[in-house]
Amino acid sequence: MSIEKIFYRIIVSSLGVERDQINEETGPGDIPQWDSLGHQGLLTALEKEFGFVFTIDEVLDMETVEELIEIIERHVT
Amino acid sequence: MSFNLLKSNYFGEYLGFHAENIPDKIALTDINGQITYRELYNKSRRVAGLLNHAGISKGERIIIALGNTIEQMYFHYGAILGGYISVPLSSGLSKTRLQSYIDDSGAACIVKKEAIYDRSHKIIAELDILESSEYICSPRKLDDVATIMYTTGSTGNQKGVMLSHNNLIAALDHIISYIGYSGNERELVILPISHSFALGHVYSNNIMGGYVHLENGMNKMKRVFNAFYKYQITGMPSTPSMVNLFTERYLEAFKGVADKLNYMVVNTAPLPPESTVKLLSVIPKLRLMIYYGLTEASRSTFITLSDEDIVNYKSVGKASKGVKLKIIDGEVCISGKHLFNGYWNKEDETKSTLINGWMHTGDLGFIDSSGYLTITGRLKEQINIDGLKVTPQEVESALLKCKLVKDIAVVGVIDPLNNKHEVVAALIVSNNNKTDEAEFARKVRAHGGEVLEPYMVPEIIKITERIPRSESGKVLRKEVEKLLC
Repeated sequence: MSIEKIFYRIIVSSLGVERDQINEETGPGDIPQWDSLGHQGLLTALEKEFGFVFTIDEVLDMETVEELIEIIERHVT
Repeated sequence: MSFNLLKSNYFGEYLGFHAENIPDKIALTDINGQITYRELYNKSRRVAGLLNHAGISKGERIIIALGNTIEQMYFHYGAILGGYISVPLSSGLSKTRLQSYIDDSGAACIVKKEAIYDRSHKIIAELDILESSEYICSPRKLDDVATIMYTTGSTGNQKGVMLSHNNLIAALDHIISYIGYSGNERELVILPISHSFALGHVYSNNIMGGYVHLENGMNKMKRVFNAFYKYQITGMPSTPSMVNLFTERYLEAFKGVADKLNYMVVNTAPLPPESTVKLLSVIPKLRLMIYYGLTEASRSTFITLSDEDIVNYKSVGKASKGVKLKIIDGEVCISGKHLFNGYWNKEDETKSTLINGWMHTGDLGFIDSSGYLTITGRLKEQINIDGLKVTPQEVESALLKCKLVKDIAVVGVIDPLNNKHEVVAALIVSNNNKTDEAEFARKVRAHGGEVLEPYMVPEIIKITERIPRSESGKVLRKEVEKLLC
């Protein structure tokens, strides 16, 4: 399964949303479920799934799904 | 020259005082701009003029849902100065939830980003006519209700906590005296100002002629940390989960802003002693304060943890000046001038909560020989999600409408993966015997997202064959909790 597919599986499950509520431009705060607590839960779930820890710069700079997937790809490829 | 709050003729009088004495000082900033004390007073009086022009009678409820913005504050102040009852609400409420507040409060109008609407959602005034409204300042009397702050009650229905001018003045005197506000503070308020905790911090700074920067939550953390630098923040209200985020996930960034931060005030839930130790190791000079008090009895006790021995880290402190505490059958009870006037349109609940001048909080606790209060649990079954109250019944009845759910019991559990704070958890009997639990949970959560506020949607969902109940059919929540942990 591609990183992108795994990512969407996790974000849908972690935030409790439908897949069509999320696209590559979506970011924290854009939908009610992706609030600060939802964001932390998502980051933890992604770290657990992909086996790495986001750096502080990555966490602060990440603003969209697209950027988040790019960060994951840098870590795991 | 500082304003004498206790000699106020009405709540909000300080706005006029500062408009005269420090007119050009910045009172508030938000992500879109800034406002001086002169402008804040003028805008607030124009709001009163606009509401009057719209034909709304004094004492009517005005819902204001503009988020953490300067506009939220001058509409709130303006409603109070005009003799109305301000009802601040979150700007992110679903239509159903907003309607329930409109119905409960009987609000005459709702102020939203685009315009002012009446109860049937017809526009009664555009916000851009504010600039041409007349100045009005005709507040009601000190014993009259100035604002209704909504909180979720034990039965699952929201409760409007009525606060008079006098209640607000007494509660704010507690916090201003304890923290020792001088007017030179520069606070960052990230928490929603539709709630008593954060709003109280804006009030306190405004009363003393200080400065507050408003941010809309912690979704954009880079912007939050930039705000610390840009606005030279010296203090902030915070929650236990924010403390955990600052000292764990965002530790490196937090260290960078910590040198200017003189104080932090934590409320909404007990701060675990290990979080206190960690925070004070990051900022040893930080004055870390905790206070206890529900919206109904705001700022009842205070403690400065950074001055205390570690044995007192679990305490919420001693009674504020003029506040009395006692324990009745294990329940914390509070008395004082700051106590609320009652619940809006809920006489029975008011009578069962306010008894002979004592507020029965529903919290369990004890007071030690030195007068320190420690909270040990909740008499009622509310779940506390970072200060936002969730009642199991509300979540249960919403999720029972999902066709997949046959039976359900909801409790709060401590989630070790989620910074050790409480989350909503549901034990569910499925209508489908061959259900994959992860897929089932996803679908139930998706349904929850449609009908509940995000923080009410269960983070933990487990399928069971039956819900533990007593002979009378009452859910045995302790057993449910064990099955979910």
